[in-house]
Amino acid sequence: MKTETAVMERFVQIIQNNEELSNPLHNRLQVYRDMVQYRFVETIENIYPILSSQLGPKMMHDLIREFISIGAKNPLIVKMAEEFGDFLRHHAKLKSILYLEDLLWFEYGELELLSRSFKDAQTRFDWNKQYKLSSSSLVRNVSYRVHSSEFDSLCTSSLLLYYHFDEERVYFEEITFFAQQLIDMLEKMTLEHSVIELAQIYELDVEILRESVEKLVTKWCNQRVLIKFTEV
Amino acid sequence: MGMKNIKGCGLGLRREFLAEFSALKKKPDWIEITPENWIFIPHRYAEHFDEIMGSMPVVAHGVSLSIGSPEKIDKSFLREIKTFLDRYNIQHYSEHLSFSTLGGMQTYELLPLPMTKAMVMHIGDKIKQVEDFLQRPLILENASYYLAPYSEMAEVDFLNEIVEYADITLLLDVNNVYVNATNHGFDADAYIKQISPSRVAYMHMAGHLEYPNEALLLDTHGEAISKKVWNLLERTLKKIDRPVMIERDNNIPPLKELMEEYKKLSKIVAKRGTK
Repeated sequence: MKTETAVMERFVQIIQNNEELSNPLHNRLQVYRDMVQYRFVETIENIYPILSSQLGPKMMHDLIREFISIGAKNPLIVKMAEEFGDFLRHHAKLKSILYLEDLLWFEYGELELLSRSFKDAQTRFDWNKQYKLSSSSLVRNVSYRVHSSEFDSLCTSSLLLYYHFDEERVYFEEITFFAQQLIDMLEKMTLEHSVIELAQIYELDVEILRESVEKLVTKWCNQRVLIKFTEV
Repeated sequence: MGMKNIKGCGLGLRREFLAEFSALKKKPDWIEITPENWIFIPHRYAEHFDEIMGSMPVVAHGVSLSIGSPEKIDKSFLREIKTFLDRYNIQHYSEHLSFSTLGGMQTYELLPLPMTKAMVMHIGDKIKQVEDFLQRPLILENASYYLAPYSEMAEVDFLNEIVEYADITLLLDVNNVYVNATNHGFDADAYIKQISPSRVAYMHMAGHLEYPNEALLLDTHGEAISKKVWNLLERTLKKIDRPVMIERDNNIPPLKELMEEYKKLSKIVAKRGTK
């Protein structure tokens, strides 16, 4: 298999790299090169449409070509986009793009939620319950409001991505740090205790706080953003 | 060698028409699915997919095994495939005679193999490993190729030698025979004649495209099946009496249109007497 392996290595090297193909026989190598490139471009541009438009087609295609030459590792093509994200995160040419990390999370997060199957049961509002973020939701602090196409000004906010079960698509919502803190707290204590603690931290009236938290948590329960917390 | 529960005509199941397919009153005799596309089942498809999988005969047709790669089989990938096949109790698993991975790097394309004796043995030994791991026989498809790098035998001989050496059955892709015969200048009927009918498990039909600026047919699975490929199937069926299915992966038309093609296939197969 030594010769066969060498032939296959050379073949892959040619289609992964951009060396000029002058021999007319090489047109067929170009066919393979085009097919491989098309497969990567189609997948990556579908998953990262905003990033593709921000970088422009030339830069995006150059980056994809470079990524192809390094090689994706996961046999499942849907996971290749995640590897491409890591490749971009460490790319020297993109160090100056400060919103990159937030945008990669935002765009890949949508795919992640669309690819999942959910078994979490919907839960009801209850002051005595503990809750946790469902597998159909993601929350993260972002430094750039990439969801509003604001790429230039630093503006930290908290972003919730969630799967909408009736519409079968992913929505995003900017939430307050207070709301994010509430989500974190609900894994450790009941809703009742969380409200009391938050009222103390922010020096707020518990009764007023109860009213807004009830609305928020009811909405999140209905959206299946929050589910019943159960200890593992 | 027949395939248990797989008879008559089949259709490749795709996400694009899953709900519509689920509601069909008269469904195809069996379906083929690509396991890599269903290892992670999106929520919006899960219910229909499970319902279909529980109610019809199914063949799994993989794309990422890369049986011809010089390296060892990727066990963690194979484990995912086995878990999937076990979950849905799928007994039939087919793959391509090609490679797509080298040194752990993925190209996500079916690349051509050097057709040599050493490769026959290499693939034969890997097939055994795959079958042992999956606890199922592996069915291998004659893939399309646009180049035959470092080859010492004809494609059909390469295919037959692997089939004999590994004692497996074939997924005979009739469109690939036509595409390869046109691109490499051999006789498609002579090729079919050299295939032992008892070694064929089932057959594929698909569309192809003429590559611009070059006398080359591309196996795109994105067009309707051409008349010449239908004709080749009719001639093939006179010799090889096996289940046949339509494989469409790109430019997926409305299910109604695909079912028209399916009806055409059914008529041809019925005429031959295989149904």
